[in-house]
Amino acid sequence: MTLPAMKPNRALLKSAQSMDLLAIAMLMFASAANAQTASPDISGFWELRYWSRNVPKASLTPAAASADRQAQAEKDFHAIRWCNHVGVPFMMDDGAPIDIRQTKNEIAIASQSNSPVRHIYLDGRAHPSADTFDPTTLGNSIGRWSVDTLVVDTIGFNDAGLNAIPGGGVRNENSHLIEQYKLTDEGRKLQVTFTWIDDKMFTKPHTYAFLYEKLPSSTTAREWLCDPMDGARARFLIDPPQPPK
Amino acid sequence: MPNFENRGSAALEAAKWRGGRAVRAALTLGAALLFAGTLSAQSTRPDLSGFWEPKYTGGSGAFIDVFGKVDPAPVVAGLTPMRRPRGEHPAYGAKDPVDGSACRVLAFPFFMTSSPPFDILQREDEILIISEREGGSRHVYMDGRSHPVDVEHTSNGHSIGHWEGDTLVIDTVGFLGFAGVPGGGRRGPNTHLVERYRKVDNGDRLTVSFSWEDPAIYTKPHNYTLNYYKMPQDVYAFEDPCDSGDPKEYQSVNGVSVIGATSVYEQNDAPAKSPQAPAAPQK
Repeated sequence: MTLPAMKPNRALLKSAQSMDLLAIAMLMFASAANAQTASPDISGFWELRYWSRNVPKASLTPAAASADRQAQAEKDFHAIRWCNHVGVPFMMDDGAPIDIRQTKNEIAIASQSNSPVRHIYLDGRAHPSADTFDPTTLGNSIGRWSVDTLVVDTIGFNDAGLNAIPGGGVRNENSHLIEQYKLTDEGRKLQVTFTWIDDKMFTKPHTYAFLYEKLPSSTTAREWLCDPMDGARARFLIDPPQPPK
Repeated sequence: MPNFENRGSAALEAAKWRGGRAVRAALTLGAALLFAGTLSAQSTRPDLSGFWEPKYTGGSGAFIDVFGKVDPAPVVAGLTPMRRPRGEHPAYGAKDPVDGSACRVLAFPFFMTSSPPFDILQREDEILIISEREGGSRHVYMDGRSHPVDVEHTSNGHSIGHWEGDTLVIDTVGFLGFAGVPGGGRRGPNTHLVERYRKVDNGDRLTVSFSWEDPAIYTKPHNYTLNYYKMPQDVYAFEDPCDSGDPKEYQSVNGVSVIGATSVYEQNDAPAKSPQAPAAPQK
């Protein structure tokens, strides 16, 4: 027996169409929910390689160029010897990976060296008043997304810790830092462009860039415990190295 | 039963099309439900993000208020509650590299019992608990990993977390050295800590229950619960500077000069021939 050719089952077709529409609606809803976090996610462990720095020489003001380098060297030594907070920009290039974690309202950047974690506030707030904010080694950072680039604005620095700026100059209370974070190479790299503005330090804004490489998600944070009371470490730093006898 | 083999090709194609479309729609709907469900599960999980602070009725703001309210830790004989171990501890024969004296790292659990707030950044893959004190932050891995077999001991330990309903459960091992624990306890290299975080009071209060286990320190798990209160959204982190090389602030620790000296603990346990202490840099 031959079955008659089947006509399209309108009920089934309508049901399938309804399911499609429902699925599309749900996907649209889910996408809309997800769109709240649609900014690029720069979270992860990131490290610099030996080719990762593009640092031109800073154009220093005459006053900055003639600064007492010996005094600066002694200040740096003090910070290292006594485990002072290293601060920005050193913590962004301390030889170990940094851990960036991004949420809707805030981004944290944790380093392994002796530095507090950077807080970058994304909730639209302004910098606190200079009358109430105590300058710190990290400053006060606020950020916003400009399409695919995170723009971070930082003021409120002090000159404590390791304050040398790559290319020349030092971080101080007059420093203003603007950073741009952008994922490249399909998210495998993170380019961070640093621009320091300080009319007492630079004749023009000083810009350099780092290219971080992403580490596996299974990476574990390490801890570089700096103990100022570690006698062996102190002796190593203080005693001049001796040539072979 | 329809015999599809005997149908005309047009009917067969129509049936395949209808069936394919139905299957495709079902799969798409399933995927959408799964995706939406995942998002929903993520979005319905409590978000612990934000700044949290302890509040002390005593008004001192000192961590001693917390220590005083926690029941005494059931420590083994030989450990005196409320007393930091000095020098060697008979259970481990180790020195204490984690101490607040002279800007040494205070770390965990101290930073969750001192007055400055801590900041939580919650993500699906990792939760950061950020201290303003020395010691940086706790990394709580939420990606399903286990503790490493050869865990690297740190002042905050190695933490993994998971959700049990509305409660974040954090499991931590791998602590470095000794540090004080509320109630007169302490933690050591083999201590195991389980914490349970839960928001209550419409999200205004965060209760954290701590359970410390270490047969070398406790006769039974040392349990207590602390409360933290949500701070306004616009609060920002302070930085707690500490310069042990500043003679105006840190000339001595417990009466022992630390400028240019070796560790207080090294001094306590100094060998017969002590190495020459390094000189302090000239300020």
